[in-house]
Amino acid sequence: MEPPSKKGDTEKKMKIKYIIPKDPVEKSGARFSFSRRPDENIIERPVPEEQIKNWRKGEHSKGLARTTFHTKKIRAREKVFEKVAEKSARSELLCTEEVGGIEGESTFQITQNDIRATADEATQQKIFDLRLDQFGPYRLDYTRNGRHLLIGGAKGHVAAFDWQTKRLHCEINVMETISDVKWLHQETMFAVAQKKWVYIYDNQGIELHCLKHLDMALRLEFLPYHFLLCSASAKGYLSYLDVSIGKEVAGICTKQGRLDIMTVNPQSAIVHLGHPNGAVSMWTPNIKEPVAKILCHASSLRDVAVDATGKYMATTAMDRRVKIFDLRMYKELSRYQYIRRHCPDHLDFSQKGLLAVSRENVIEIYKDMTTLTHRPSKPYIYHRCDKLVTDMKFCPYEDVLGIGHSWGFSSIIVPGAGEPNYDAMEANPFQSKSQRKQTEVRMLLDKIRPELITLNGEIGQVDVKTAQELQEERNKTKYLKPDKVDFIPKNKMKGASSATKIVQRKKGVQEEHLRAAVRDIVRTKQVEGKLNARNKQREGLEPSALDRFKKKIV
Amino acid sequence: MAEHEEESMENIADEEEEINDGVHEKLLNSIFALDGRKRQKNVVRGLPSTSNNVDLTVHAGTHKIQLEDLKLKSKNFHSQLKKPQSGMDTEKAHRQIARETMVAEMTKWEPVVQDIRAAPQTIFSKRPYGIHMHKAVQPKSFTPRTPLEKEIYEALGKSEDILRPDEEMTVAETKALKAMSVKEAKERRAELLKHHELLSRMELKAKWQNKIKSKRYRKIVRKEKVTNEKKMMEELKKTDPEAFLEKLDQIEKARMEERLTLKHRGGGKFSRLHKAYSKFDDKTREAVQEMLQKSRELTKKLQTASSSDDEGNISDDMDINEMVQKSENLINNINEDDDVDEETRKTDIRAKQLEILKAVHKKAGGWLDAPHTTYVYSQPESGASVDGSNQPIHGDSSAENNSVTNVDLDISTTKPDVDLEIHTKEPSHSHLGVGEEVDVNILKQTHSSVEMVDNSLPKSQSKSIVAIDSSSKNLLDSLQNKKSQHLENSDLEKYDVTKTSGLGRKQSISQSQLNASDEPKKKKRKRNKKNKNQDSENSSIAAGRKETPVKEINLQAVSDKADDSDDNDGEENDDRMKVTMEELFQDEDVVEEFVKEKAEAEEKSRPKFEDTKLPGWGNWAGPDYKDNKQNEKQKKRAIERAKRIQLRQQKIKQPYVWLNPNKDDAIRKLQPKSVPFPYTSVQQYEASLRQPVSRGFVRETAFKLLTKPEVVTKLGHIIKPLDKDDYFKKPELADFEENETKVGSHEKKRRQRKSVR
Repeated sequence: MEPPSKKGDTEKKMKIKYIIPKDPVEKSGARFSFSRRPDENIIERPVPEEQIKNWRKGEHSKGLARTTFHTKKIRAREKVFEKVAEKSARSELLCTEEVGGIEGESTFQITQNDIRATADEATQQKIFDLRLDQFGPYRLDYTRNGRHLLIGGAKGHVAAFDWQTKRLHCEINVMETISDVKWLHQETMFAVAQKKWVYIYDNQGIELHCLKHLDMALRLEFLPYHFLLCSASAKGYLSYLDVSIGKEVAGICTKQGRLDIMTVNPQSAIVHLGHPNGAVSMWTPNIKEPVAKILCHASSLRDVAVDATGKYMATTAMDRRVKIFDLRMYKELSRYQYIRRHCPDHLDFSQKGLLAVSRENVIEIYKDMTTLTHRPSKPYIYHRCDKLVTDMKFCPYEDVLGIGHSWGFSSIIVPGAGEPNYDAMEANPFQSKSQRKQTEVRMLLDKIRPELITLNGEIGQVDVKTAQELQEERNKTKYLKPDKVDFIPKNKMKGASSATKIVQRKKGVQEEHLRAAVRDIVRTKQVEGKLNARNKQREGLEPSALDRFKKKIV
Repeated sequence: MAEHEEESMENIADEEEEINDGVHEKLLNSIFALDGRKRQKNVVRGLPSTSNNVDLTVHAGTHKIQLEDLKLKSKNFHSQLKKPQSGMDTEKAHRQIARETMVAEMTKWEPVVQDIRAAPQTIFSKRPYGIHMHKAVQPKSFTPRTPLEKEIYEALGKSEDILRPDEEMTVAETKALKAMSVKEAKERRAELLKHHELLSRMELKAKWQNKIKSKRYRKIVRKEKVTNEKKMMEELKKTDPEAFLEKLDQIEKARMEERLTLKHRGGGKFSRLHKAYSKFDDKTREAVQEMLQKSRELTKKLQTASSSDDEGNISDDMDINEMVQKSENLINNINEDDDVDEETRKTDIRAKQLEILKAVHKKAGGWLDAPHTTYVYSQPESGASVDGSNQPIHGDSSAENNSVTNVDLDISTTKPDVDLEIHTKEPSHSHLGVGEEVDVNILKQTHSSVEMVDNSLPKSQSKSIVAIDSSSKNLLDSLQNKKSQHLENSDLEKYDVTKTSGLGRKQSISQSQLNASDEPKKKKRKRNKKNKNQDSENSSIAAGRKETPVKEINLQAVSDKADDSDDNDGEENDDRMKVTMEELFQDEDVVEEFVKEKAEAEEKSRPKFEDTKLPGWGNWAGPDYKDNKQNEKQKKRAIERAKRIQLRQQKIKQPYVWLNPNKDDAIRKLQPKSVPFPYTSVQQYEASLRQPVSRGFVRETAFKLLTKPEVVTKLGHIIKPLDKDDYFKKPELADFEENETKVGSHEKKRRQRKSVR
């Protein structure tokens, strides 16, 4: 590198004007801040309104606050919210990766071999089979970032490995039957539901805990934000165990018999259990009864799956139907009948909403099952395994479906299954060790209490029921100015819902309440006045000198 | 109001002739004096008159200066010395003065403090920060190179009206600013403002005018418009006949279009009058009804054709057999019922029928007049001319008419017309693009005609036909029941399919059977269509009573080379499998069980009202004691009613969903029980919490924006008290101040006017 000519140098110096802050302490030296100058105007191109709309969280606040000052504050806050939405929409630009997919008429004719033939090498590596025919049908689980895989054979074989590099963490045989395996919050720990109890191992395969609370567990689920390990047992017992403190948060006797169908709504952390009478029940650790129950099929249920948005639930039963339910309205959206001999066994939703359905040794993946406009009658991808499929899961942030079957494990490519843009704050597939540690700490700090698991997400809402009761009670007390009623008028047609009319109606109701309260107060006063007048005339009530001998009531 | 006007006038006068006001006053007085009466003048109290520079107090009402006023007043009015104040009083006064001055001082600061409090961020540091990269980053000024660029630059680039990105004003503006003095600029600005206000007023007026709801006003406006248009047309007629013709065409076209839409259901004056009149006249009523019906039919959306025709083969053999058997029985019944001489009556009936058809035709308002309906009266022709999937059967029946028993004939006399109509019209209509609706319409008409024929027939016969009707109904019902045993809602299309497939088989069976089975079929079809209509109506009436059925989609079989053999096996087994699977699980009354369970759970969660009072409670209080029982009962009843309604609603809406009423108990403990301080409504409070803040939910920049600290202090920076000079600046120019006050007075006047209004 040659030093630039002197002339050029001076010119540059002329143009660039440095302001070096020297004000506070001279010893600390100059510090540069690269933030934007306050008076600098940068005109940004406006973001399309539709994009911003997706980021707005709800209606902005209406009406005035108690004081003008606070009204101003609230308005300012609203502006900030709007700006946040705009900024979020603008930063969508940074999500450069796009969802993959196969387009065409009969995409199901494309086999894994075809994909392997055309795909790049990195993708080819993702199609593989593990031939493990000794230890029976396998269950599997991916970590949240989709990097690590855990497989557990029914005859005791457990293996954990980084499936992309194929680096093995551990491989053990627990010498007991295994019904389910589950990663805990990170790839350092996993839980295995064994014949009698649930055990927790670390990624070296060392047994850390034996959870005797959770006996005869058939299915395990983990709620990462709450650090809750849920287990459904053969005795109909559903239990929640906080793995961060090792305490059983809730144990619920469901009285529904053997619980071998369980899934978790990733948005609301509600556990869905499937029952042989065709019903799906939803559970929280907070009450001993189901929070909701839907009768989905008229025959015994086979599997339940909830999609990543938490809005849709897919069920399948012995009547060979797959049904999609809208969980916001608890309503059936669409139903699909299998004209095949076998009954659909397992279901799983991918992050992008593909639905994998397995029947015996065949796996069919359907697209757009949850949309109402397009109802597919043919699968998007079709795959055939060697043996009976016992478990399958989509790998997060990858276009990969992992399948556990009686001859081991196989991984297939499903284009367009995974979310292409990962949020490293949430789950980072390329996490380093230090990042993992950091994340663990932050996750623990951000742990959510189990009480906050609700069906409809009432967090941040006022308890209107109690509020009304309290208000009524308060309004009952004498001589107090009654509270105003927060009354939302019903929507009426034909211009009766214009702003002025609404205000008038509101006022009417409020005034009515006020009038009633005032009437009550006046009446009580009148009655008291009468009583007082009457009492004055009575003799016994005037104080007499002999009162001192009366018994004093304390 | 008058008073006010006067006042305002006066004010204006004041403003205009401030200088020679005194002279003017004198003049006025003298003029009034000529007249011999006193001039009334209202003096505004409190405002010193502009004319009296002399220190005179003018008595209100009288305008003559009185002698007392001219007397020189001594400055110190009180001759006596004031009593010296006591120490306490002086102290008090001092304190008061001190307080007042202090309050004045503090209130002066109030807006500043409010501003600071309301500011999103306050930084207590005057240190400049950041690097000035400004100049270096700026691109070099644009120099035109190509000839086009040069030309454009010549034309535009040198213009003084271009706003440079680094400057606040254009060259022209700065020049203009320099040329004008501040006073002129202010004046100009005031003028501009005035103009703007006028404009906005006009706008407002226009807006209000648009919102006037008065019918009378609208009428006037409309009339005005019409007259204007007429005038214009006349003018056009004179000046530009071609344009005039064009306009006429346009109007005609608009009228036609309006008529074509058939949206005018009864909003027109004519139909309204008719409606009013229809109270007294049946015919008009019918006519109106018919018109309405037609408009409804024509404006109904077209239904998409059914797609499941090809599934016909799957239909159950059972159903067909049943159907055939029943129809056989039916025929036997009819045979038994009336073997009377029908042939004599035949002709009569035919004549009657024709009449009725004519009447129907007339009633339809010439609707059947179209050429494609000529087949209605000519039976044999139509039989020959039509071809279609259902036709052979029909042809058989018509051929049989002459040969088979009387009963058959009778039926055929009533029916074939109907049938013909159906078959002949379907194709002709379809190419017209009206489609199914017209079909349905005609079906209805023919159906009604058939009914009329029934009525005209002797009782015994009509009975038999009714029997047929009812039997077909029964058939349908039985079918429906059968299907509805499954959870799935039966769809009507399937029945059609089963029927058609059944028909295919029936051809091989005996003729009488065929004919008879044909009849219920037709009826059934009608019924089906009717049912459909009814269903839609029902669903619209009692929306949500039953969940609208979700359409089922069959997942099609996928066969690739590898599993071809296996799949074939599967398909062979399919039919058998289906039956077995459904039979396996349908009899399990899981549904009932679930409903029962739900009811139990609801019962459990319902609050119980128990009267804890013992019998006789309150009786000792005497006859005057009023028991509140009545009230309580009423209350209880009301609560129960509300509960019941709620329950029913839930049941109606979602019979297969149970929501636990206690599901929110856990979270309710954590929720706030009332709206906290600055918020006035629940909505406001919830809206304030709606935005998630953490990095996990929003982007980094947004997170920083949301967590921006309100107060920023820096280490080592002294936070000094606010500098007075920074906040209270003295106005620089005297004339500016003057202007300000003027505007202020103007404002006041406006406000006054408003308040008077």
